[in-house]
Amino acid sequence: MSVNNVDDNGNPVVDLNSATSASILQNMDNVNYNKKMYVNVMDKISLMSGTVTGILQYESLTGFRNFFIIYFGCIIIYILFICKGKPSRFYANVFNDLVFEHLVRELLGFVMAWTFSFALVG
Amino acid sequence: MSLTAVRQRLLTINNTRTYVEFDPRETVQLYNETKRYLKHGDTQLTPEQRLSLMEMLFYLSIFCSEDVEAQVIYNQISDTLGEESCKLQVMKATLLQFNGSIEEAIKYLDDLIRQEYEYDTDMASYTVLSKKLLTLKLYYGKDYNNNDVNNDINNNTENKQTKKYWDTWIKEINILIEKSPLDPELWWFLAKIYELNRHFDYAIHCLQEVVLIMPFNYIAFAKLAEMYVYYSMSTKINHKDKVEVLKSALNNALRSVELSETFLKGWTLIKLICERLKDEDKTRLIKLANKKLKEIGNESNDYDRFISGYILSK
Amino acid sequence: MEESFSRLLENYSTCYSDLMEFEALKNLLLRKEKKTKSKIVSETTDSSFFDSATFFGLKINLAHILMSFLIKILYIVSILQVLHSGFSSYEFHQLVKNTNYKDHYSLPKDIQLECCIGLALFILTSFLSFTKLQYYPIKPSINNKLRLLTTDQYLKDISLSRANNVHNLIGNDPNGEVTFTPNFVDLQRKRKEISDWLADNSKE
Repeated sequence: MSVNNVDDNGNPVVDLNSATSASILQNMDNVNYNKKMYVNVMDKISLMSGTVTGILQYESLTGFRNFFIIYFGCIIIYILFICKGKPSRFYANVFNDLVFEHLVRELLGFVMAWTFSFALVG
Repeated sequence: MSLTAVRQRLLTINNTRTYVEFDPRETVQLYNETKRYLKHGDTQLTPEQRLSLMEMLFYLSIFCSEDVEAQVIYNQISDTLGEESCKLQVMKATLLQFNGSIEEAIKYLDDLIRQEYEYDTDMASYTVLSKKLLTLKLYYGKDYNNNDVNNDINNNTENKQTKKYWDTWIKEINILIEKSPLDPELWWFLAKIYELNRHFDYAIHCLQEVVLIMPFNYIAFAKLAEMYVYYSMSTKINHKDKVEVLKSALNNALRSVELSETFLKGWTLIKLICERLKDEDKTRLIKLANKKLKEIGNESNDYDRFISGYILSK
Repeated sequence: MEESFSRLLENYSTCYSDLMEFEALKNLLLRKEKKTKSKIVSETTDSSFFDSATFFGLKINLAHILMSFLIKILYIVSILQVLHSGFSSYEFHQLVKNTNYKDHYSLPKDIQLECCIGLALFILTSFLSFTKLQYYPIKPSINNKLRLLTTDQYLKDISLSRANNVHNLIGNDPNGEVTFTPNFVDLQRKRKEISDWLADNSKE
């Protein structure tokens, strides 16, 4: 490959194997759309499960255990039914996008709804 | 749900300007649909999207010779946005073209460009306005217009006057390209003119510029491959070069299907080029192209299905 | 000299007919169909998306309307269940507060169960509310109807080559702003074509 990214016939050469071009070859609109769909559904579920945990008057570790059971359960359902078992087709970095990226956000939503309904009921 | 799909369709047509390619039947139908859609209202339509759809409706009503309605739409848009934007200025020139005279429209744009945009830094608006001015001047202007000449871009006539006519086009567009070299539409149009005049090597150069500006434009890659094939058929080049040219055609066609898996034109070109490259062994590629064409025939829209079936049966 | 030129021309014309076919075929196809089916065309020319949507996709639409209705009902039921159990739990705790046996009583099983069922129903509904992606093709098909194309997925592909498949499915050119050179359209020719077509069609 020459310096000017042009081969002998004058065609532009794009090196598809280089690390940079691999990450560019994604449709960013679709990436954002998929993330939005996921966050929407998880927001709803974490708020609802927080409310339910408060109603059941769970305290401390039991409540957090409840959250993690529902959170991971929903991720598994999402991967199996919405992604049809192929999450890498829709999410570039499956673990980061589905588990870690929104963990704090959902946990905070959960805790908010939990304490709110806990105080209201108790 | 179907309203979402309708909204998506209209916005896509507007964003890609596909409506300029529609045939009369489709244009009239689209005009009625857009009108009804905007009248019916859609709560999920943002104001910006609404305005852009109104812009499309403006041009559709111009196409359908509904000048009064076009004027009304123009007034509605300019009430919200003012008249500063280049899109609105182009719309105003279009209205002048049909309600007034062509000279008026040319004068309006000329003054605008001279007084405002010539020394401005707003290159994009300058280019858009210059394109409109160029179109008005060269299609209908007094100095250039030649009613005997068939100046349809889709018809290729071998005529000295036509040649002269297209030479002016090429000259004018080159002047514009000097000023804004990163505008892909100008390069594409230049390629179209060169193709019409059968200067395929020049057309290839123009399309390479397009591809440099838009590296993911798979349509342009396929077009480039098509141009290479035409170029390989000219008698100017010898057999050895011919193979080289066909190889670069193949590379470009392959790039286009790499960017778009079920691109009918790309796979068809691959099949045709491989069949032309007799010396090389390309049976695997032909097999792959046939497989993909079959796939397209199974699950694409009606047109692509029909065409892939036709190509496979040949 | 002239002979070679004519041969060249011939060469080009065959080449054009070879390669341009998939572009030109669409037009050809349309014209043919127009001649044979002009009645249908004139009948449905005025069909708006409302007519066509209710006309062609009666089953799909009915199923969709039923589905979205069902989802709304399920949401309401699940939220009501959770609210009801919350209220019951509140009453229970108020009662227990006034007794001396605070730590002896835990929340009754039926309230717990109602609450959990409400949550399960809510989660189920929010997953059911995902709909498969649907598109209308850009150009109406030969018989002038828009056929709703339903894909088999809920989310959009991220890799560029697969994401572009949607454009191929609906017959769209994503770079149309360049490819169709919209700023160089000959407006007067376009107007003439359409007014001619309208005149022809109104006669029939």
